[in-house]
Amino acid sequence: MQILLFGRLRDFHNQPSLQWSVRGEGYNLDQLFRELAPVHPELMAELLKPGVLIAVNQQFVNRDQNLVDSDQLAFLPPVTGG
Amino acid sequence: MARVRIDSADFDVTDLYRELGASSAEVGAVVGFVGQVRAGDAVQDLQYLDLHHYPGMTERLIEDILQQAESRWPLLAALVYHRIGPLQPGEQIVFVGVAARHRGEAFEAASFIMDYLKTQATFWKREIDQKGSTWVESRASDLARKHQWQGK
Repeated sequence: MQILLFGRLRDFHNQPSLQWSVRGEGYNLDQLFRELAPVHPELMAELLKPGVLIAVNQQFVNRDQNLVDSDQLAFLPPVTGG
Repeated sequence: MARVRIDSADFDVTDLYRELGASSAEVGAVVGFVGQVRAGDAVQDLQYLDLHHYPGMTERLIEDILQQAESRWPLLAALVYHRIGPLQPGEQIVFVGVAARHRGEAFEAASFIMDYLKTQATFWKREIDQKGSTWVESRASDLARKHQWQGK
């Protein structure tokens, strides 16, 4: 699965995206967060900050979203365009 | 041309204005807004802004905003041009324009589109000065402006 990072989240990883393998059925965001936390603790803390929205395949989703390996997951901090 | 355009290239307001005005023989009002880079909010000596976005999602979200505006007001045309990449103080960042039969709906719709774009379209900007870079924070006043429309 491709994980895209935007805005200030890019300060907490040396690339604007990372690859993550989704294992098994019923894999969800909570499981991803449990696996990410020990590997990328600083990034993980940012992902959980208020205002960070989550999109799967460019649709906004909630924390209980299930994930498959072909998904494109994106973390979107508060936007600042215009 | 698409009515949602995201590009690093600059735009010519006159071209966009003419395009809106020529969209229908019924057009009686064209309203356009241009946002440009001001001196830094977060840094002292802004050298440039750097804007990036989520390709695909941004275009779809802005198209949704335009459709919401069209469901509220009888518009004849609407157009958003947003720039990305490095932008220096004084450069244009965004154009929002609408064409309608009368000025009332044109003014309101342009304001609505801009307020929604500021708070919903997936763009992020960094300010760069000699010391480094700072991510621009979202503003509560922008959210408040968007919320004003929800009661109307």
